[in-house]
Amino acid sequence: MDKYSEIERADLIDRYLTKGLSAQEKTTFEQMLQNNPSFKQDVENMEISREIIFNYGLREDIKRVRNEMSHESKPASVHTERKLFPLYAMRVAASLLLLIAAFFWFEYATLSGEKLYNEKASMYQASAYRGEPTDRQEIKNYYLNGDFVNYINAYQAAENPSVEDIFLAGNAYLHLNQTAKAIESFEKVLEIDEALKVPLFKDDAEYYLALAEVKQGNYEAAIHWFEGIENNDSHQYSDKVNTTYLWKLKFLDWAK
Amino acid sequence: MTKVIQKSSDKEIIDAIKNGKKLESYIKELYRLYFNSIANFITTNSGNPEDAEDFFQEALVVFIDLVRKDKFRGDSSIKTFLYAITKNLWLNELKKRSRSVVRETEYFNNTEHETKVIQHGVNENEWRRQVLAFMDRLGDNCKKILVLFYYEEMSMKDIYKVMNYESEQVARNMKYRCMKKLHELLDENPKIRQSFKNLLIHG
Repeated sequence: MDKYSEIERADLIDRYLTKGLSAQEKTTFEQMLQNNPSFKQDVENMEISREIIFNYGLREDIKRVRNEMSHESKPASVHTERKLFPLYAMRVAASLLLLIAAFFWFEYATLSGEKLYNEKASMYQASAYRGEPTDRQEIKNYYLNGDFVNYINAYQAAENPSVEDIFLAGNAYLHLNQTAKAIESFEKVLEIDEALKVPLFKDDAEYYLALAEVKQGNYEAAIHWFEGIENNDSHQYSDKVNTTYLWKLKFLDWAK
Repeated sequence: MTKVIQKSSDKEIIDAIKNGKKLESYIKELYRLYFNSIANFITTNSGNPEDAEDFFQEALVVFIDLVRKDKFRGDSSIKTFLYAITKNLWLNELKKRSRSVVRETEYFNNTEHETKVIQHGVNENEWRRQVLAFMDRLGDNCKKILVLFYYEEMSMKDIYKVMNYESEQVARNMKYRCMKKLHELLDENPKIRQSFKNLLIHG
């Protein structure tokens, strides 16, 4: 490597880091890396520097966009152009309508609360905060390991369950098919959260409460929560609720 | 005339970031799609509009970095992932500001793998912000040439024209000097250098 000038050496390191060296060059390079601590330090510095520069460039890009966006008016709405519908296409459209009607008839004929619940149900993932006391971590491990029965036992034995304990209990009850208790837990979370300055559980509890109401067959209540979520773009779960899902719920409520 | 927004799918955005395409248009799209929602989370949790802008920006930096390093597996949507990053960053900030944060455990609707990835990304971002100060000590020309080469991936042939240097070789020499200066700054700060190196190795 001594045959290279400093600039060539820097270029070589760049090429190594972007996987641009030939097999032979790479072998020589890696030998040098092993035997020469000063060279190793150069390579590390280059790696760190590239990371810093990329990050700097990215931040500059984001800042530029941020400035542009602050001068931009509100996001434009999605525009659809009206086109004249050719007459010959009317027949095709009519056939399609029939097919769609048949599809919806089948969808609604096989619709049930359980089906709608299963469509959205997923286990709530909790992560352990490292600084948490060991005894609380042990209780939480029951939930993390899917041992909902022992989680509920430990939760019920706890003297002062925290908001997160209650929230997790709601999820555990849901998995144990004790839906009424799940609803009670989520409602309690919302009640406590509302009184706090930092209601970090609000969105989560609303979504899981809505699901619990579906499971319990309380479609009217479920519609209330899901509509609130869908109509609020800022809601963490707004992209999980759509108009079709709401229509299905309304149908079940009507057919009840 | 009504402006038309072409909405890219999550996959298109992720692929573009991974393939190192020009990011500006995708950053714009992420702003349009998710800024209001995430800003609302911050402003309803003890933050002001400026905090919302700053922390959305930080969340984007962490998000793009994690995607580039192939750590976003797409288990959840971009919205959920960005939301979780912002929550993580904002909770750290609230702790720094000594506000009473009610819960000690953070729950996100993400997989366990994603939660670990996010925590690591946020931690790494904290160190990166410290070393970024080195860039400001380089001078404008140095910053520009390094960004053009390493971020914009422009060739030295184009850089010497854009920056009005006499030749490509002059541009190369300049780039080398700037990079050397940055290395010197790293060597002068061994603690920061070591921490950042560890993060890169264990990242």
